[in-house]
Amino acid sequence: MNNTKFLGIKRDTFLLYALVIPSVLIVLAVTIYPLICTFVYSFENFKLTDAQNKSFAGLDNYIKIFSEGGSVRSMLTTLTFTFFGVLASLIFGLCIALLVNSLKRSRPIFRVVFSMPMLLSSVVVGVMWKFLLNNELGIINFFTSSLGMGKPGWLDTGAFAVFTVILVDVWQWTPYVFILTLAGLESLPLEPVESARIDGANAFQIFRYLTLPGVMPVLKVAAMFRIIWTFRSFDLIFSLTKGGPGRATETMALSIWRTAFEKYQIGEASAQSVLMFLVLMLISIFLIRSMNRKTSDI
Amino acid sequence: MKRSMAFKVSVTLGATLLAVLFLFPLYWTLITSFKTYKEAFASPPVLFKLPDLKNYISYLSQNNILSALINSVIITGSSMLISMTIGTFAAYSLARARIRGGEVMGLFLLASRFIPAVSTVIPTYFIFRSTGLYDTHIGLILINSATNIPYVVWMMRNFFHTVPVAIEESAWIEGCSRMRGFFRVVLPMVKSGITASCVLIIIFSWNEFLNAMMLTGIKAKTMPLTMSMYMGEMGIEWQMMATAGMVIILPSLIFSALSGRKLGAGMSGGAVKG
Repeated sequence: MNNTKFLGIKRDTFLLYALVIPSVLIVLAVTIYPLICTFVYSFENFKLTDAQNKSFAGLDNYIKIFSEGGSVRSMLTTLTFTFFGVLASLIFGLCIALLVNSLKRSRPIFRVVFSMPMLLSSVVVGVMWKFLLNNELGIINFFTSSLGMGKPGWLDTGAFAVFTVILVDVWQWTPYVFILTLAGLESLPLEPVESARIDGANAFQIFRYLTLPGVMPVLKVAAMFRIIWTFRSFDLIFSLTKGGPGRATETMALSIWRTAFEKYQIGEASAQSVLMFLVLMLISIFLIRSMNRKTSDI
Repeated sequence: MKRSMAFKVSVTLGATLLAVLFLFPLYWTLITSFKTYKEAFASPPVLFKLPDLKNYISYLSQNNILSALINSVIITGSSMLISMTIGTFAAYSLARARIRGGEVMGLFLLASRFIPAVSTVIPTYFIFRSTGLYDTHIGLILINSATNIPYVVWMMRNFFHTVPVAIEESAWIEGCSRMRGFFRVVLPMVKSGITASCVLIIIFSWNEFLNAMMLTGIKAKTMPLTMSMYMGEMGIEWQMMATAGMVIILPSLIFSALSGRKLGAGMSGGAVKG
């Protein structure tokens, strides 16, 4: 390799820098710079309808978002949505993976089937479920009423709508947990299970002391990514409920969007953004720490 | 230990039942897209329908849909090319990280993935408005490339780690430069990684919604935005909505059928082997 010097550094080192710098610059310009702007806006009086007249507002925006309670409420909605959505998809994903893993010949087909919804546009998924769940003519209510359960209003009342949004999110993202867990299960060695069987262990004991600890690392990874994605997800709820009825399903992402582009309060929306960003960073750092591995591996 | 026949049959049966339930929403959307207006709203519902592409033809022959489709293809394709090229180079450099600050830059790129789009879209809207990037292909290509570069870096770096440095070194001894060695020796060894990353990036860009919604008006509208006309309640033609939905999710359905396992692994950043 040619190691002549160029601009005072080894040519090869220079090349390695030249390869990585464009990525860093683009991300700095397109992601980090706007993030800094958001931070600046959050201390300003800034309305979309009067964008020319910005003025320094100190902590007004932050005081406003905390005193009005809307942000606290949307934070709670986000946490509820994230907690139950992630938990349910972890449980279902693990169960389906265990089920499919016990199949031999048909496993490839089921792997495809149970991974389908994962990569679909969340906007389409939201609109599609809305039509399935339509009160009067939706196919799901046709089935429930034929089974004598009446026609529930899936998206009509607050608590029920939150449940429905979680349901749809779980439908879309259980595949992610499933795919990872199945890969984890397939990589587990078979001998310990065999010898445990010979020693008289029952199915539950094998699951509890061999299989579950074996897939735990994979489940943790899945949980981490699920938590981060669900916490900030926007598309699905936007297309399914737009935050309604009322503000029952308004998560932080939805609330920021509404404050900025329906109420035109850019300063306030930016303060909410900063808040959301900080909470998400705290969660991410906590999760990465608790993964108990070098962050550079993730 | 041999498992009993009854056990096998019941597990397969259970999995099949679950699969039917699981895929029903997709089945129903597909079937509805074949229906006429009358059939879509029929009560009791029409549960089965043979394929009929006339809704697809009338959907795709609308001018605004056609232009959205072209926009989506241009934006997805370009941002895939840009983020794959720039990101793969960076991933290689970081995988061989012997440069000062390499670790920090790697961490920076990884951390930037955690920044939510809602936190950046408001300033981006104003920046685009004042620079003329609003409602242009270039604007969205820029945004999509930047959001996807960290994913590419993160996925490709794991693939480059699997290529032993010794193989490269022997190429260098034979007179290859670093770049020549990279193209001739290293890249062919991570082909499957490149494919998996490409597919994932294509799907991410294809589905991207929030930025596309806030940063385009009429001209640069992408396919997922055409779905928003079906978000209300009133006067929606279900068979057309289902058709629109099917057209938008078709690429993702095909890709996940072909390589779901690899993609899942890719989305865990190599923490799980596919």
